[in-house]
Amino acid sequence: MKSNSSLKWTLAAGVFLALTLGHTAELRMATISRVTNQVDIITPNATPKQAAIGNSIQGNTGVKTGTSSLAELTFPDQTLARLGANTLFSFDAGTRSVELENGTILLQVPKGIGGAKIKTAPVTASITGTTILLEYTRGKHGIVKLIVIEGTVRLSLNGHLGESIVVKSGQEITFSDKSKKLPEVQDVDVSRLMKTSKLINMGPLGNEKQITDELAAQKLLKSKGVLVAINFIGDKHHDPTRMVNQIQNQVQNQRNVTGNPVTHPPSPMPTPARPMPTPPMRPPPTPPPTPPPRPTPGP
Amino acid sequence: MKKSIPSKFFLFAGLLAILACGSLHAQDTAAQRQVASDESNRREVNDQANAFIRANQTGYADSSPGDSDLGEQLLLTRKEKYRPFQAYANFNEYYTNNAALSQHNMQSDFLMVPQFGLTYTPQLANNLYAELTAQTQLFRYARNSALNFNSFDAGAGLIYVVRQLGDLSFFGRYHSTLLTNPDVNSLTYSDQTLRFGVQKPFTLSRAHYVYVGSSAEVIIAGEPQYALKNDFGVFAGYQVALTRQLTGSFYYRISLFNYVQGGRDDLNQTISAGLSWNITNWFAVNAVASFAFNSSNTDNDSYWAFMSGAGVSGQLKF
Repeated sequence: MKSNSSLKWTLAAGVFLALTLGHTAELRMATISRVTNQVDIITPNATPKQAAIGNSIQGNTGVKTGTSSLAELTFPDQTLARLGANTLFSFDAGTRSVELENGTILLQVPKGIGGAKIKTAPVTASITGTTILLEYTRGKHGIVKLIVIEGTVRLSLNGHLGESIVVKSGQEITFSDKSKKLPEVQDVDVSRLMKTSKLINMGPLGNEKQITDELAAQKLLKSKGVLVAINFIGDKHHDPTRMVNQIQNQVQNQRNVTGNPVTHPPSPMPTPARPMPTPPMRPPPTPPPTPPPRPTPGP
Repeated sequence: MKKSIPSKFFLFAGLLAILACGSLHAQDTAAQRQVASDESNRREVNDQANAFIRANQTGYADSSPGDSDLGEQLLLTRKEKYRPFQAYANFNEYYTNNAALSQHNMQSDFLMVPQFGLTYTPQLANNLYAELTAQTQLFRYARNSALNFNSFDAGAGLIYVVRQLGDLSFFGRYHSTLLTNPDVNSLTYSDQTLRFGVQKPFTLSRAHYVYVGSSAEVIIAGEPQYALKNDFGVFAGYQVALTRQLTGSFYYRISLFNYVQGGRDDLNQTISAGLSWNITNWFAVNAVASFAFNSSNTDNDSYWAFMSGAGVSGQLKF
């Protein structure tokens, strides 16, 4: 009995290990499937080589794109990496980590194959079954920008324990590469992005159904008025509820200046100090006590 | 009446005109500031630390070198659902140095004021809101129990917000008040009034703003006659978010009270400051302090009073 149990556990562990190693091994190489303009393969201690469709890229080999250039790499597990202009990209053999040293990348990881990580100097993005756009531009005004087309990503700020955030489909986050805190995520118009993105429109992604579902979900929210373009609601003045509640307060106050010194409730609350697209609704008018507008008693 | 009501209307119209001129001037100044601000924004377009703020100004995520490959990032925001009903309950305890609002022999006292109310503010059109409110308050004095009374208020009105003029808002309202003795078996005062006015906020930043306005309340019915008065005033206030949960406010109002009987006219000034700790979206702890100065043209009706207190408030929106 005991030996049977041990055998089962050994087999299970073996299967798990085989599956794990199988997935890990799949990022040992990639094939260049599309090239636009100047794309070079960078190998350590060797001269950069012009990339061509069908070239294989091994682990620890980099790919560099020039100005107005694009490249697409396909991994054996159908993970897709599309590189934008002025991008330097590499991946670690034997892991599911890719590294974006500079530039832009579209990474599409099919669902159910174990996920992947994109590392940049300031952040690491952990993804599973996701299509994302990531930019990391180095320099004095370095910037990190992550857009999730479909799926979910956990973005962590390297070297800042606990500073991580989940970015969901249809959301984006942009911040300085010198930031010590991650800002809030924002919703982004995926439909507009799809129409204008070179990386998305290089060719079929293979997960059009998931993207179509995400587009439909966002379209529904937009049609219901739940999601609104920020430039349509404009600046911070345009929250009429603030004025409505404030006037309700004022109306109450007017009654109370008849004599009772308690005239002004502590509300309404002004816009929170942290920037938000729309100021929240005010708290209640909290009408102050109404004084007796009866004859003032004599001394 | 010693003074005619129309003359007060002329005074009020003058106050409105001054406010309107001030508002237009402020609009020009704001426009100039906006141009300067835009220029400043262009100069610091590479300052990535302010990405979110600029995104709000343009409607797009902050620009980056990779945008041509990534695509246009039009930002969306989740609009909060408008909930027109609001039920509220407040409980406050105050100290006053002049419970009877008298000129001589001022008597201090503590008063307890529970308050319950319901407001319905439907959005009739894009910038037009209706407002209906009913509330009751109980005033209970610790020492001068003879001053105890109950108040029942109800009213309805319209509020129009002109977004193009920086949320310049107009309001008009019918209001009725009944005051009874504590046992609610005797009516001591009643009135029906029309209130109208204008209010304009000036946002200094996302954390604080000032507002100014003018309003009038005209008696249309009520009793006893000698207690009824018209009210014409201007006001200004300041609101600041000290933290995400702590807000502060200041308020000043100067009013002319024109009593409909006996020729009494009062100049009333009130100044107050408040703090509110918004513990949750529906529960807050409040503190307030205020002074009132009343100068009357009749004997014994001038007074001053100080009041300070604290309390809790709860509200439910649906």
